[in-house]
Amino acid sequence: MSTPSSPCSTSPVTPCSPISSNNSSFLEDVECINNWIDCFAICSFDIELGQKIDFFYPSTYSERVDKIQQSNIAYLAFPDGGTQPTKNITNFNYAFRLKDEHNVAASENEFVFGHVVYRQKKDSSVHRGYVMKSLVLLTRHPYIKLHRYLVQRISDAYFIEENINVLHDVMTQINKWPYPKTDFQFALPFQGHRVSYRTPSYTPHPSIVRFLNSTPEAANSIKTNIYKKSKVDIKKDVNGRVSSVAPVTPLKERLLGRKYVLQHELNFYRHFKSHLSHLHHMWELVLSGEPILVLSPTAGECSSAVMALVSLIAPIPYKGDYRPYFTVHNSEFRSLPNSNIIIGVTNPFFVKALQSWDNVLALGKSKPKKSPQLLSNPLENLLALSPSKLQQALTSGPSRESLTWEFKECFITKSKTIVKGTLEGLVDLNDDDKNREGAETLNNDQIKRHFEELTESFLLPLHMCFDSLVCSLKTFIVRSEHEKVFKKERFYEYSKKKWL
Amino acid sequence: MSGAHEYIFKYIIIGDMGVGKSCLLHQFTDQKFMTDCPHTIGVEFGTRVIEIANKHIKLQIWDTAGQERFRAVTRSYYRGAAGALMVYDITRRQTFHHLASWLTDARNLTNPHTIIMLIGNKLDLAEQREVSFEEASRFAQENGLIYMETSAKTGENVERSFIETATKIYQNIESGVLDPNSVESGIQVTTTLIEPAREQQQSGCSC
Repeated sequence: MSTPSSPCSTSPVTPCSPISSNNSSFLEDVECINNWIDCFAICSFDIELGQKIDFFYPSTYSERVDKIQQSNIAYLAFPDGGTQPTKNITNFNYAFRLKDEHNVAASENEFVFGHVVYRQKKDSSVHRGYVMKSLVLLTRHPYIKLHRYLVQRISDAYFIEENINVLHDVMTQINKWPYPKTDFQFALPFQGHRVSYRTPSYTPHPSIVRFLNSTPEAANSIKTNIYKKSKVDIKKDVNGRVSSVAPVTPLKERLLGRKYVLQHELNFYRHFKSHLSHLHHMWELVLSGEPILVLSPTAGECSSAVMALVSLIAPIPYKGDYRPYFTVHNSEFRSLPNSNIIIGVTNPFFVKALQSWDNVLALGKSKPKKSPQLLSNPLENLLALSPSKLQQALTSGPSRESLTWEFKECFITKSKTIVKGTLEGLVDLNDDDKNREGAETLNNDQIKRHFEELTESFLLPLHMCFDSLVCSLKTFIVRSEHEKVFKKERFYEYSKKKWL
Repeated sequence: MSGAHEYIFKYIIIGDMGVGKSCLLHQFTDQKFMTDCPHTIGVEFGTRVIEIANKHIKLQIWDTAGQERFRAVTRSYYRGAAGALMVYDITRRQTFHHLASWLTDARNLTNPHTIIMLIGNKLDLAEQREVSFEEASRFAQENGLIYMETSAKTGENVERSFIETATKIYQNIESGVLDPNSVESGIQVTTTLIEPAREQQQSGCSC
């Protein structure tokens, strides 16, 4: 989507307000009063203990989350295997998402996003020669690009001297921002720059999720029937009210410059360029709540890919659980559901641990040259493999340079696809393309548009149904003793009569 | 190339933190010593193709984090290992004392034919030795382990330890003790991948 303002661009501001001095050593922790962020966590890899949280900023946050949540955060703050380069400085920037059930202040079903910069720095003065630390920014808002930018800038400043006053200053600056709101173009002063960011138009509200979860049959039926899924989402949009909420068309969205949650923050083309021919299949899996395991060598790749998958069905908000990055240490590892979930991991052990999951997407290091050959991999052959062989098929040969474990890019699924489609109008890209970024953006827009239209056309009969005067949602709702029940059979019958 | 080897053996390297597990792996796969080696977070991997009895065998090595706290997670990695390298540091007696508990894990969580090799690392620091060769050798004998002292720094015996373990595994296959087609064996016969048509029982969709 081309809009005049890029989602997260910055322009220098002069003269900028002087950043408060770093001299005062006893500054009280500043809380973020306008909710842009919840807190920061500084984590380190301790030689005796492994991953641990050094401190939260503001420190009061530690009283709000219990020990389990603290350990979850600590584990998610570090790469779980994969690459451990021995360069002077290594920086990883990635995101995770975590259930906030252990936060006493959070309401049920709330999630928190974590944006991490992991920094591994050579330092001969410490045992083993490396300082391994992470700065985590926790927030409730799905403002991926903005927070990714912020956490990078903040960590760049913080890690120079590990000065806590950096965090103090950042909080003070952010507190001068207006409150966040949906669908709004912000110009946020930050570290002498003006960060321009457009918030997405819709943020799923916890109460809606709760509403959906209150109908267990709706949740159960999601997996197998796409129609059921859409039913749920229609209800979600209506949010209990029986009204004719006009569907917002992609065109209208574009004219208004609106953005969907997550969707405008990620580059689909970059993440899925080796899997373009599978995107329709993935769209279907996401829509029908199939579990998907995304494997990649780095947390950055899998976290972006998971979020891109989730937003592939925009404007329908993804109803299931998704974890852009997940580790074997997470307290929920043993209790992951078997449907309505998408997780991103770097540890190939998950291929074994989640054998019951039918869909695995493995993303490798981007090697465009290799992809055509890999795409032609007959999937049927892989399907018949036992888990150990599957794992072997997923993980490829020796990499001489380092210990980096490389994944063979592939997409394995046991489900059949219903929707057929082709992506058209993509620009061919070569490795040495000078205008690479521009072409990637074009292709990304094309993919987004294509799938938005696909989702809209999927929703069309439903929109028509609920918009027509003759038929309203009431037709399908039966009031029983205690609650209203949505009669899906009636709805199917009606839809069949009308459109099939 | 995946077609260039006939077997894949899965190895796991275990032992206390700081005994040199990652350095052993790195020395074996890259023939280099990492003077400063970052802590292993989670699990790391290395592979190398070796030759035994004119057969190409790919060793797939899982290198684990040694922190006590990760014990529970490390246990999940044992399953299906054909070989386990149990490493201690000859200059730190404590790491030798902990072997019993590592061995219990390894025995309980692998199949009876998994080859377990005891490795006393940091031979280059022999003058600071706290565990004698004889003592460790006796421990190995009592527990039916192969024993070797290595130096990940100089590379001494590193190659030998990996290859000797692989040789034992290969002998077990040859003599029929190990069934390479069983998932538990930690061995994968790669020909099934080269001729996948044979395994085509379920028909899936190609997209």
